[in-house]
Amino acid sequence: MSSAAETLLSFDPSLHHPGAQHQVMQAFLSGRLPHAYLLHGPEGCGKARFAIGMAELVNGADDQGRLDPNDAVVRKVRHLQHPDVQFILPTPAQSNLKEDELRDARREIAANPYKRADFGGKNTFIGIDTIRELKHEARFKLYEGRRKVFIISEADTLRIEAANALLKLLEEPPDNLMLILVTANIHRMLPTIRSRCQTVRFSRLEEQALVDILKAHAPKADPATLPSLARLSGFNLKRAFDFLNRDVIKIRDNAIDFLRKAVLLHRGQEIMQIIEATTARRDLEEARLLLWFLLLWFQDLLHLRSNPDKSQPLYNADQLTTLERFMGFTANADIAAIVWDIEKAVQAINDPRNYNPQLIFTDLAIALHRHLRG
Amino acid sequence: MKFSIRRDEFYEALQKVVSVIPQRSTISMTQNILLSAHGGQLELMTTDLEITMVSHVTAEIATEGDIAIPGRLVHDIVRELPNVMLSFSADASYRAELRSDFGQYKIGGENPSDFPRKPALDSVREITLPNEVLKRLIDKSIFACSHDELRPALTGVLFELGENSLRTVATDGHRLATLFYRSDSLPREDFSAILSTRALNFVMRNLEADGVTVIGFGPSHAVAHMGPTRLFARLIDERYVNYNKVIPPETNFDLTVDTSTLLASVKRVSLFSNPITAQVLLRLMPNRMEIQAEDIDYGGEAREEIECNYEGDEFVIGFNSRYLQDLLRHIDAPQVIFHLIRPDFAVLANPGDQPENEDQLMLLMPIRLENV
Repeated sequence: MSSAAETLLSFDPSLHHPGAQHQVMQAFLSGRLPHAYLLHGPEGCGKARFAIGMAELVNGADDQGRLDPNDAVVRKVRHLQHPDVQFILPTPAQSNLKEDELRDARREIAANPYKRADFGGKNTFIGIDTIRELKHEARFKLYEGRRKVFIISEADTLRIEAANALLKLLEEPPDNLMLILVTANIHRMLPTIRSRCQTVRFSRLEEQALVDILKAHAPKADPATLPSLARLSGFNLKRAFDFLNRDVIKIRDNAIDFLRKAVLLHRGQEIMQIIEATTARRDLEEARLLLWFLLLWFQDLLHLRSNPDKSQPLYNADQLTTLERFMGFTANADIAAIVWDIEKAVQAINDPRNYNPQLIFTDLAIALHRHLRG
Repeated sequence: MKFSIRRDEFYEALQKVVSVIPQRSTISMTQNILLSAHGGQLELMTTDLEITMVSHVTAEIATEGDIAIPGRLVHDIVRELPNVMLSFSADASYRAELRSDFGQYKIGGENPSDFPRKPALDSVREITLPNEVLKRLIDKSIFACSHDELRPALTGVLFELGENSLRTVATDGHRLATLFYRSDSLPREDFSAILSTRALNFVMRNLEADGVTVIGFGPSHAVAHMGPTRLFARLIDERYVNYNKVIPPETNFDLTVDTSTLLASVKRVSLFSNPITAQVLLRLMPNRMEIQAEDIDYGGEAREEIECNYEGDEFVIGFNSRYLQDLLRHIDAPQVIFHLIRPDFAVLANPGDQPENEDQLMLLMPIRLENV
């Protein structure tokens, strides 16, 4: 039915993901929107914003799927203030959550749905009470819109009892309800939920798309640094927005320095200085970032090894000369084993048993030295 | 937007609407109160998306306009003020200021166009009911509503308009309560809507003892006009069960008993019933009835005998005592008439006497008994 020359249908070009837009628009124009969608793909590619766009389409578009961004209904949906559109996000337990925290988090998401909801590092999930509230809401007639849309962001954080409660709604949804589940970890979702939703697969965004979104939502950020931020985030918008508040280039440079010093392990004093500075903060965020940049570095090495013509975008494109020198130096190194050791360090840092971070990094430095110097 | 108003008048209007503001909501705008100053009237609106309250008060309006401002904050400020003249103003960026003789209070407002719209009541069907009748229509049915969210329709009360009549129905699958009201002032058309118990409890709380209330039924909301306040209730979007199917058209025996005597007796005896089943047994004999309960686990037992008017077969029938007490509490007449078929069949009950234009009927499913 579709030819290569056929133009893809789209309802909001600013949402990117033309393939997904085409899939949704086809269903909308044929009047056969399913009761439940499952949007899945890598973290930080704009799925939650896309889901909000779908709610705008369902409630605010004309018959042809055209949206007026200044329309009052579209504005309400976008600001997460439409009474027939519910946006659910994982939150800390009620006992550990102040009402202001929730309100502020929701306000931030409404202003920038590409961002991560910030609850100060507390463990977040979607509990059964939230799903019960949704079910309560589902039993009423429409308030003012055309169709109720319940968006469940990070649906893989649904507690098992909440997921089972949601299943009931998925099995017998009211006619005027559309559920949109959003997840970056589709395999953590119950198969019974997955099988009841129409899936839409998302891919990571291109660098330019990330830069455009970063520019639009962080007008004060230095535009010159945005392409680097986009790449170093692994093309993940959530991480890129986290990076805006940190000097990540410096942490990345520290990671390269750590690697250099690990190769020359006899200069132990210098490597200890990096480790101490990196693990000084209690939240260990800098330590996690350093490990993340080490992983990106070795992924780039693998890309360079397999694509010497550099056809694939590199995360550390601004460090191409260093990467190439490093590649020459580590021609025989077992990159897979190195990545495995870094992954082990990531797991140890995130382990709730609070391993000593300095020991984790020292252990990693020794392992890297062994792999890189043979 | 700019208006002046006396504190007492403003506070009275605020009090009517503030209770609807939810403690928490996924739609943060519902924490606000929408103030609309137009044509010499100040309109106040709050909603939790299930219930929407709109109140009006006269104010001196210098500049017309609308604003959404934090509802509880405004209510709390005004509550603490004496009855002085208040001046309220808001600029184009929704920064509001409330001035009194004591000082000024700056309040951050929000764009009113983001506030949920006032429910549209196109093709509304209006009925007018005396407050006393409306209260009875709700009160005599609402207690039988279900709490089971899996059956949304049963969590509300069915309002069924017929030819010059209105019937309210509620059931949870174990019991059913209905009150039928007939009046020439009611329209001659068939229509039904399911209202949530929460909305109806709000109506009951806000109803004046005397007077009449106009109720309108729209496609998605019902509205009750109560003086200067209007209460919009969102309708439940479900088909109601065919309750007529469970009402037996004919019964075998009638039993008439003093309502308060039976209620008091059931209350006493049920203290000895098993807390899980709450079962009480009624042993029916000619012109007397034995009420008994026992809790085998703890060895408690109670037995009472009362007089009644009964000429049918002797048999024993069991009920959940809580349901039986609920039923008896909602009979206003001194005597209650039970209509029975068999011990394992639905029992009907209605007051011994009731107003000419009313027909109250309740149905109670008995507990299946073994070895009695």
